[in-house]
Amino acid sequence: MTCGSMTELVAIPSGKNQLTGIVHLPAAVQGPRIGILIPCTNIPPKFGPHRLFWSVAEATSQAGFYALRYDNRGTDDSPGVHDNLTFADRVTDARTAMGFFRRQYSLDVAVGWGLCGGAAVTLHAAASARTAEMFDGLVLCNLLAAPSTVWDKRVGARIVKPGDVVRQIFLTGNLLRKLRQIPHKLDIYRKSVPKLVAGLLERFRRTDPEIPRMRAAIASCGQLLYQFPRPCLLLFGEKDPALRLFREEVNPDDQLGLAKKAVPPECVLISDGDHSFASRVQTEEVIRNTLGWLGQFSSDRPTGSRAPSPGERVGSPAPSVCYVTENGGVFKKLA
Amino acid sequence: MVERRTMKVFFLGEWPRRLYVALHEPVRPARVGLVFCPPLWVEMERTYKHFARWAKKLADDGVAVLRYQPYGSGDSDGSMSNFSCDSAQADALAAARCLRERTGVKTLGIVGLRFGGSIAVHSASVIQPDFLVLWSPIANLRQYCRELLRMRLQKEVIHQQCDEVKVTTSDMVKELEAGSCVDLMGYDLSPELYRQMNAHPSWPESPPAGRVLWLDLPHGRRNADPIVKTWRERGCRVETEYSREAAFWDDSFTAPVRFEALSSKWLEGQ
Repeated sequence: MTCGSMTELVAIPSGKNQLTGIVHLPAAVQGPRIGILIPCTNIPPKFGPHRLFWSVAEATSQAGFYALRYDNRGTDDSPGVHDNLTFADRVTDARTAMGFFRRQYSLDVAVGWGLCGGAAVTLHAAASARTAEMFDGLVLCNLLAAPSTVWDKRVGARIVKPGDVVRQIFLTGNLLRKLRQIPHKLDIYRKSVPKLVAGLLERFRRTDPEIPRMRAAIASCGQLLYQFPRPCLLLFGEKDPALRLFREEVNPDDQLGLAKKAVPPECVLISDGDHSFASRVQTEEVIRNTLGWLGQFSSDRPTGSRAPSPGERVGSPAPSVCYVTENGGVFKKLA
Repeated sequence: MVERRTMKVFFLGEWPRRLYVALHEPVRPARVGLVFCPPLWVEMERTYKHFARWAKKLADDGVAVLRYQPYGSGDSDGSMSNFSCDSAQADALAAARCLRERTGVKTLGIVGLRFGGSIAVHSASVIQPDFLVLWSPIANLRQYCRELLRMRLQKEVIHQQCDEVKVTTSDMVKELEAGSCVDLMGYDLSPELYRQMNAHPSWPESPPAGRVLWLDLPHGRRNADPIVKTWRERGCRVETEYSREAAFWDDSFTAPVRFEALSSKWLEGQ
């Protein structure tokens, strides 16, 4: 990734709080002013895992879009200390950031772009946004939509089930080979066994009151996705558990009816993709698909136009390395 | 509640070689200034939140803290392929200079975690800090480089569920020696950084500062002991503590509670 675009720091007022953000400015804007808002995920700050958010923002600004990344209230580089940031706080921050972005940069179109928990936050923010904070489209990567993944504040981690452990140890892979490897892996076991035991005991610990709220919020993501009336791109990593959970728990056989929506979401599968798309090839694929999808907002669209008309086929990303997509959460490999 | 600190975020230097910097200052003149040298790549991501939080707390206690993101990382300009040991040391120097100029602190220290600890030690001869706080510093960059290469293999097996790895460490070494960057979980390891990590001299025998606090995990003792011994022989006041702290740079959710408490207490005496 080259470093081509100019960035500027912004302070986003959010009630009593302030969010620290960075805007990537396009060198030249032709047609409508389009912005991409990238809320941060639970752990890495606003530059994202392996600098993914920075890379997406750089690439989109080089393609003529504005991009805003920010840190949540009281965390990372935002002022203050907020130890108990709730899911609702993060949703409020995303909406506030979107309102600020639209207003300060006179955007005609603004799109939310989120990864994992950040995707869930983006979706909730879009669902509850007022007109001034409106999301004209969503790019949701490895969307966290299965409530079973929420068992403590480590959103995205799954509760350790004894059955899963047994299955992993005895029923997957070559058991004999595993047994032979034991003497060579003692160092690894010394670290991982206590973690496993802690994971198994986790379910008996007193639950933080935020957890049920968060679980409910994550559980409603499928429904919100169905209700979102504007274009949406779902990006999943082929090897990420989020994909399996989406297929099996959130939208088995398209129970949500995403394929029947007036503007059905586009679904793209990144080959060999993991949870944060942690390789150069995966990152490039994510960027290419994002830019391809964003193209629908910029081409011949009159300024001020907000969303494609109902039923209009949303811009299809250029064919990915080897896969893609059937709408509604069912994925097929391309021939 | 009356704020006891201020926080400024800004770019240091000129585009396209700006460093992203966060400066935490107490409202009253600071008694001590600290530069935080961050660790590398995924360890920087995982510990960022903790360092930011600790910096805010230190500023409440009268310490000015400057956190920076090295060129080619985080929100600073440049791509990861531009990052090298030399550039990291130059950035540490720029950060220290900035802290001195902006706050006028008389006493300056550097806190370095893992790779940042190594950078702190190697750049100390130029920065000339009054003290160093080292958290599990990487004393052997060559060995660390090997660990980074293995990270990619782990990722393929664990996160991408590959039965066999696509490239071996020796494939990656060949690629680097041929002058190409290697992709390590989305981070570019440049041939220059690889060469410097492998050729990097052992730690300087002359102490990097008059006072050093070295915190490490028990297994870090083997690397630390000979260096600490040499520094002490040369008149440096080195305090060590090998704590049973979890390796918090491996797990985003574990805070460096013990390292933080020990360091804060030690800093009160500076």
